[in-house]
Amino acid sequence: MIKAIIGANFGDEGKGLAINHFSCEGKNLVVRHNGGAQSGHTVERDGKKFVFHELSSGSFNGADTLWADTYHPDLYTLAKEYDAFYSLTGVAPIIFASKDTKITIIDDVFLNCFKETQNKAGSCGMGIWECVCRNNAGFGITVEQVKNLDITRLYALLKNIRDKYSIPRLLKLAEKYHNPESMYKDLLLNDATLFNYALEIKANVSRIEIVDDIGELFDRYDNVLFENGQGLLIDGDLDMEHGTPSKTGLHNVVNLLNKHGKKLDEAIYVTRTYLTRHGNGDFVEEANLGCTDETNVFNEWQGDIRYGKFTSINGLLRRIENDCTNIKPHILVTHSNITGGKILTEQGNFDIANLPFEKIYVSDNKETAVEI
Amino acid sequence: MGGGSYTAHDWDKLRTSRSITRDSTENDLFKNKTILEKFDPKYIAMRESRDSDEHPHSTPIAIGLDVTGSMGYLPEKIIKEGLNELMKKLYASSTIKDPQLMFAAVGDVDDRAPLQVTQFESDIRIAEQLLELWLEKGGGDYPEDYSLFWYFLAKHTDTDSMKKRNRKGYAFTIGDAPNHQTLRAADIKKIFNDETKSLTLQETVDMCEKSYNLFHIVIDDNSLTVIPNRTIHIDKSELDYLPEVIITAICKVEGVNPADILGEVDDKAKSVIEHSLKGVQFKNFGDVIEV
Repeated sequence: MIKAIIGANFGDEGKGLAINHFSCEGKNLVVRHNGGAQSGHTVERDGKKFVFHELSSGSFNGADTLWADTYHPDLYTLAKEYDAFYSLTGVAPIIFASKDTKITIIDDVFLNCFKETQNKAGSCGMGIWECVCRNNAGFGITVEQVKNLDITRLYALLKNIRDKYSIPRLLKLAEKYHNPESMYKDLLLNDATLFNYALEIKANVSRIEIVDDIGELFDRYDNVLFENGQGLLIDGDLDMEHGTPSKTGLHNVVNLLNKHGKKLDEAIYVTRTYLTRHGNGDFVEEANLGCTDETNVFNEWQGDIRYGKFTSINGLLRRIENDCTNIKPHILVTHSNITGGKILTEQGNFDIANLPFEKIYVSDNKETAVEI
Repeated sequence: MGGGSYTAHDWDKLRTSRSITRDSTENDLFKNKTILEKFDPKYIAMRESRDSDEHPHSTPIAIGLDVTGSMGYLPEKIIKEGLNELMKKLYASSTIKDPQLMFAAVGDVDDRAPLQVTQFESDIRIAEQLLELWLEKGGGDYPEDYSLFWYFLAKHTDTDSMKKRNRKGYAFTIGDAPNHQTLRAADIKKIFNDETKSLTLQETVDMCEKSYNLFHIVIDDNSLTVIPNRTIHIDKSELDYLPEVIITAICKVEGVNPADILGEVDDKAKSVIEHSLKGVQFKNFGDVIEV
């Protein structure tokens, strides 16, 4: 079975819980295909809680991870997540990368942080947008290159990118913001950071296996699950100012499956019973909803998470229909215990059981979901 | 849990972890307060410079630095600003084929660490070893014993460059003093555990030159010649140009254009290179046979 798990809103809907739930049985491969290490999907299992960024949220079930060519991993931060997961479980996760998967580099992060300190856009400070811009400018670097180049040539390649792309971009941005003093500017202009970064990612890339034939890889598994990052309401096509440069719906999934002659069996859209937004952008906040969130705590870049109601149930249904054109969508609703089984909208509360989907999954806890 | 984003700790790590910057202090860089066995010639039968699939034409380049007390702060400065840049420039260019660098801290025969020698490395991981050397700052007498390193290169290194291609590597020693005229048998026994006769300065030079194009770099004394025709002179104030001087010397032996590695250098660098290498002979160092 090939399934896609898609966030229906601004992110933080419970996609980690969903992936964990659907990877409970059989041999599973989870495909990360949009955004990068900025996404954080929380899974709780037997009292253990873990926030997955680059590993699949099915890792507690032994699911392997594939980074598709539309995903932008961060080989530096990977080590922290990988080591933390290993310490928690004693399991060393298996990660595959497509031959064409391009990484975010430390310069993307410095540029992102420099911009954010001058003009807060509410990004995660992980350099995804900068990575996409750099790739579009012809300065991409793949996981496979990091793996195959010796450290000397890797450093030379990164230095070339820095000299020809990152520094000119930094100088342009610095001029725009009237040349402010900035730690991130200094870090980008310091060769030692690149030198050390090259050593780190060269060491970390040994944890990744490059895959030539994605179709053949899929055939090795009982289930292939696409784990989308972010949500439909921050798709790059909708909100370029505060959104994400990635496709947050079925677009990448369908393209990748078509390329390898595979077909999607189920598309499951995930939503909380209420709306949240972490990061900048328009949002009508309701102060008294009584919601809390242990994962989406305040951070320097995104601030606090905000809570609110859906404008209408039709708005939610319409964006799911618009995204899912070739297959009948299903829905998974999380946090049903918070609202007594209702979805909160400005037009009144709506029973989850009355949602017009062939399959409705509901979760009233932090670990599992059931079909109703 | 879950790692994820960057923190202030990462910025510190990227800025300072075991790499060498101009802002690093001696205490930041050199943690060891004693010689490590892995660098002690007494425990090193042979240092090997080998070809590999990634580096099929290895070129051994050995740099020995005087770390005795008379050098003062210069060893740290040379390592931070000279050898670090040299290493990056050599590794980032393919003009010198597959450079494999080795560094040595050269003391005095009576020091607790008369000689410390790293491995040959094909990449910037050599920086790690460079930072593990102990800057004893012993010595105190004058002259010094650079010949310890020449002897080591002659007797305790084995290079594919010579073995397979009959091509010599490169060796540079850097210091501010003349060399003792004799390397005594008792000192060779004590430091290398080798049984041999005492060797004159010229004998150790000749031994070393069988496998290496050997140069000695004198700091701040234009009148001093340590190895005839192969002594390079550089002023203390010009040490920033040490990488350019060493790379130019190698390029002259190789018969390649230094600009291929260094790019176009400014007038000050040109002037330093010119007077540093004045009178130095680059050709006919023994029998260099191209195969």
